[in-house]
Amino acid sequence: MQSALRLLWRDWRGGELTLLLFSLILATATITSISLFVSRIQNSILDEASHFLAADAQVRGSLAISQEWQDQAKTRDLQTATALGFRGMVFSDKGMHLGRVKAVTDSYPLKGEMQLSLQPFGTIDEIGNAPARGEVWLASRLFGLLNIEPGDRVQLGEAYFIASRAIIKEPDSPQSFFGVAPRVIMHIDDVESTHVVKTGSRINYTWMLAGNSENIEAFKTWIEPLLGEHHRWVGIKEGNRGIEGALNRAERFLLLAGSLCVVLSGLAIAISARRYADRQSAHVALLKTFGLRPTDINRLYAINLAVLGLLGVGFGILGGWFLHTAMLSIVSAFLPKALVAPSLSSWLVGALSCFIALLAFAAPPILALRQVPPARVLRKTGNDTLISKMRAGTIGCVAVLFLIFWYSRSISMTVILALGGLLCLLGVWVFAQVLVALSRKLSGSLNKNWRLGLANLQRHKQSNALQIVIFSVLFMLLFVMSIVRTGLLAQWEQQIPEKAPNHFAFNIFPNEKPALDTLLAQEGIERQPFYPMVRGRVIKINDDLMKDRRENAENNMNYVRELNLTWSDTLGSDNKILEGNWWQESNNEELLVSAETEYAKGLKLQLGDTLVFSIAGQEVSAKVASFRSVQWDSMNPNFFMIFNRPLLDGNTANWLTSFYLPGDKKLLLNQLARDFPTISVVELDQMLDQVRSIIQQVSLGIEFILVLILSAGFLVLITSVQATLDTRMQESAILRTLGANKKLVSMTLVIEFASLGFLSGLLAVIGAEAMLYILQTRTFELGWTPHFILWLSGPVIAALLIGLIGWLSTKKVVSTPPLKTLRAY
Amino acid sequence: MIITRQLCQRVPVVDGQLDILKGINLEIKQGESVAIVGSSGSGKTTLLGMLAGLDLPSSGEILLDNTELTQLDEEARAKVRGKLVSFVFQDFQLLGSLTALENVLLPLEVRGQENVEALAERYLERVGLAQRHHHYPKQLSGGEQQRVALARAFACEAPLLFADEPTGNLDTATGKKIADLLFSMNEEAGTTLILVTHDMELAKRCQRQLVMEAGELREI
Repeated sequence: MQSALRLLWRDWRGGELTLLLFSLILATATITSISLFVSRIQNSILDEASHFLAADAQVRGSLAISQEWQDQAKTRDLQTATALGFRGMVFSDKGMHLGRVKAVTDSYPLKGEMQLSLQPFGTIDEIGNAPARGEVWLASRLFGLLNIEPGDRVQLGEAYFIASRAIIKEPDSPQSFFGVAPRVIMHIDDVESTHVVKTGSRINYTWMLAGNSENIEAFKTWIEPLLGEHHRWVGIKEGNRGIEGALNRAERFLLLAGSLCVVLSGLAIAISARRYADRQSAHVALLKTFGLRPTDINRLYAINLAVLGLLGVGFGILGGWFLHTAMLSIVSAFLPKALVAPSLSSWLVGALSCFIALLAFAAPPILALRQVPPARVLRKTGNDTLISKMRAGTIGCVAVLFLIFWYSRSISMTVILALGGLLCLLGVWVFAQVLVALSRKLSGSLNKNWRLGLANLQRHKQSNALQIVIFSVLFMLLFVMSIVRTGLLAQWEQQIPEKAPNHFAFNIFPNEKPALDTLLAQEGIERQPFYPMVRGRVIKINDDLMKDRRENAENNMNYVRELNLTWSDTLGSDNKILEGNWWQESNNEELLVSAETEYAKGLKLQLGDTLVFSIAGQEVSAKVASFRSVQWDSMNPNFFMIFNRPLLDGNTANWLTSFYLPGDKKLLLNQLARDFPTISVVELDQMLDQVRSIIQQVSLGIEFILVLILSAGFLVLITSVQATLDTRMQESAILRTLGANKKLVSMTLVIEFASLGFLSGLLAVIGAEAMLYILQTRTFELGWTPHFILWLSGPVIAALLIGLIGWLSTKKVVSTPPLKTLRAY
Repeated sequence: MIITRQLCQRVPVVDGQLDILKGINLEIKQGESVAIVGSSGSGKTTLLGMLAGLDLPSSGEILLDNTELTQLDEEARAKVRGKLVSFVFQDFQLLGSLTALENVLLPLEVRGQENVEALAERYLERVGLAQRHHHYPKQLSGGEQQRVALARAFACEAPLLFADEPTGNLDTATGKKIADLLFSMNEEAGTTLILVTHDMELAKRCQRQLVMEAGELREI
């Protein structure tokens, strides 16, 4: 052990280990910083997203929560709050209106803020929890509907309350656009006195939970089998359809970024370890002449590797922490004030990746040193390749795949990257051989510098082909990352454009449409088209009762609730037919329905099935004509079921529209409430702002991660160029002793590297385009178009970069006196 | 000390096989100094590698201090080398990251000997490098580097010393000084010396001279 450490120390002192240790530290630091950064941003985003639920998770249901569940939550250190939801008529001296009552416990909300005002639609005057007993808080527009002022008395059931505050923002305000009566919030202990809630009343129980994510997950695992048909679990994502897509795509991008980081770091470690092993082989041969046995060599280098690993992990984690703090401080303006702590696992990711990378990339060439023949001391055989490139490559690939899978937990991403990588490697290898040979042929008609440069390229055909593979894979990954990032950001910007509709008005009767139109037009507010809407539920599928299908449903969709049904000739731009056909106007005789795909999947619907709906007490049969995907986060009105023609006589429907209302025109809502008391308006502006802020955070996170990945990529480039420095030093020294001046040697090297870069860039573009096609169409659903700019700029960027790095790294080659170099070899 | 019987070494080449060593029979007694001479490519370095247990022959036997080397695997041969053998090489084979003293210490540490610093220092003084303990190889001249190599070889106090062209990389004057040092130290230590060289003057300083020609060995 002692002699191993002494050896390690001497190697370190001699600079042999610098590059390898640096690669290890950087790999660990990069992965740790990304995983810490991602974990904290993600946790913070989830924390912010949790405001939509007023909790980290909810259990919703039609029955009260049992004492056993409550006790479990307590023992698992979870905070809880309960909300009881029901409908009730609210009376004032001058009017009455149906209210959507939420009765809450004192601890509500667990996440987010309840913003209140002393005036309807007023400024935020207060942040509250639950109203005091004897008080209720009302939605601003309910004050108008009941014709009362704050402080007036209202009656709910048999009890009287003071309507003390207007609700400006409720954290878990409904995201369902329909059937929303204005909100009434009261204290849960007042419910009994109203006598509104009786056995058999339709009540929704929402049990809110908050705590650290591990405890929430553990509780979810415990409770899910016990939920039964009366309760369901709602996590942050399930509860946030609006941001689900953005979050999922961001998560996928970050996982992709992390996985690529693992690949790049692995490459850097592999290259520097091979260089270290090459340089150590003479050393090992000598040690063997001293009597050191192969097992001693193994032990010696195993200890070396372990110490290297520990140092790499220790400094890497430390570096990762600083790096992620620096990243956070730069984006701090866009982040919540108090960031949520990173998960424990994010600390381990970097450390474990480092050890696995060390074992898979560094250990094989280093531990193969035991095979160095001792006779090498007598006959220098050049750089013995003790472990075949194929074998090292296989071990490396398996490790990379394992790491990517472990990191992303996604088989599809692992398979896409594996297949893409494998195909590209294969293609790149063949192309590299051909291109290197071609460049040699071309060089005949060129001047001295170019001739020598290209001759170098040809002479190092094997090692250059390998470098081209490394460079191309590297550039390919960098091009892919940059383009996916640009695509994602653009798509997010598109998803919620600046003036996206942020208010939905519904329950509009046909005769109210012209007047509403006029009012909005007077105020200069542009509205979306009117959509018809009726409410109904599916009661039979072919001959099966809905109840039976529902019980066997394979997803956790709420099949109990009433559906909003509409009819239309045209398919919305955010809807896509996946199976079947959208109807032509001609086949209007039979009643057809197009079902949302997830809804249909859960019920195992087939094209041609007959669905029987119960609508306004009548049964209506329709044949399933198509299944549609719906982009729920588009903020447009969307429906689970769309029919091909009006239902019933068409007059039972009321209508729905949406419009963008800027902040300074919010008071228009008062007038709307007065002039159209039956129309319901859902305000989504707060939620949209919140979604925008989340997307902004995610975008910034992605920008920074791209910068990190680029840095890791540069490290690989530098390592890879450095790895060939020994040979180049020797060759340049010979060239210079033969009379070549510094400028010629320097130019030759730059040309060789720039040509390598150009060829790599060209191959990288081909590979990147193929990979982008798969990723953009399958993983990110971004759609694909050829990237012409990349085809033009990719090879040039690569040539400039590799030329520059080559020139900088080989400055030493030119500046070292040739005699000194030749003596050293 | 060393006995070989019908030692052959064949390597495959494009058009068949090349015999590098053709049935070498040799006996070297303890304390003898033997020079193996021959032109480049005659197979003398290959023979040295086999005698020292660095390589194995295609056929034949090598007995080193009564141990049949061809029956041993690399682990066991390494053990034998550790006990019996030390080397001096044409290109010195000093580790660039180690100082002169550390280079001398290295084989001693590898063999598990303790408190060897004084011993190493004594040998460095013996080769005239008392003031250069902490110099790295690149700070030493070729002659000085070979002195360090001599100090390293003798510090092991192994009964067998193999020297492969020890003056081959040095100018005549320096080469002569190194040869003087090698022979005087060898005499002091009573080591069995097997010297491979193409320098007849150097070979003549050994008790026996053998010439290697086209894979065959004969006494001069």
